[in-house]
Amino acid sequence: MGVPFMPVRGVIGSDYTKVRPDFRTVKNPYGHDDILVVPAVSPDVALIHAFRADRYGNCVVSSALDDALLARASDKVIVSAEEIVSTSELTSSQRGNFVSRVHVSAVVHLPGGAAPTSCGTYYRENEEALQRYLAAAKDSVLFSAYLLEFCLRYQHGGDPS
Amino acid sequence: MPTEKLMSPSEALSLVTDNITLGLGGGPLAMNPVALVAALILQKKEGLRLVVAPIGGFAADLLIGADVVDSVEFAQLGFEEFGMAPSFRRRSQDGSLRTLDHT
Repeated sequence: MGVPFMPVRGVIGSDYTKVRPDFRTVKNPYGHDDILVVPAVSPDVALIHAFRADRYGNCVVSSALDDALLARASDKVIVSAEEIVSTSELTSSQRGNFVSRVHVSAVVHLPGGAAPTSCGTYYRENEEALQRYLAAAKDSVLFSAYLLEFCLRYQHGGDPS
Repeated sequence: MPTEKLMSPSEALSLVTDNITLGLGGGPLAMNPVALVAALILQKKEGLRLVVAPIGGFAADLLIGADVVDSVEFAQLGFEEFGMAPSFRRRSQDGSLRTLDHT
């Protein structure tokens, strides 16, 4: 929407304002009460994994998530995609939310790019890989070595499970 | 013809510089941009302000664990049935990560 903030009811008087002291209260310009306003979420760059994309940045992302909204809220968007297809194939076989190329700065072909998390009908979450991550995270010394090895292995996409 | 935007991970990730606000798509354990995040971690960025949209999990925890993130804005950040996000928990508890909670 491009608005800089949004008014929110039901927060003033709760402990929420202690957790988020950056949220401001302003005078309601149309009434005599106060209203809490929250700043817009406007990332400089967003990273989004899509099911399919064309070479120009048009893509189809999950309709179960807010990825299409994130793309529109962000200044620049980098999309990785399971498949690179023609524009006509993309628009005719859409299963998900369509994101226009006007929102997308870069497209990278990364099959398995969401692994070990799930990716629609392409692959499920890889429970074994997730358990390995959780086990490694228990020891901060071992974790840095694990993380480096993980990134080297997954930077071009993981094994679909 | 529209502008060609297909490129390599490193060409694309040159858009990500130190100290910017970085949004991550996906849910806790679905559709995370893991490969892009893995490539980004190898570039050793610093001072990133992370935003998950609005629920994050695995990819966010990778970035937080790699110590390239100063703050994270979220409604929820976890590993669903696998429990809490370990690096997010560790850095929240030791005070090295600024958390901007939306719940």
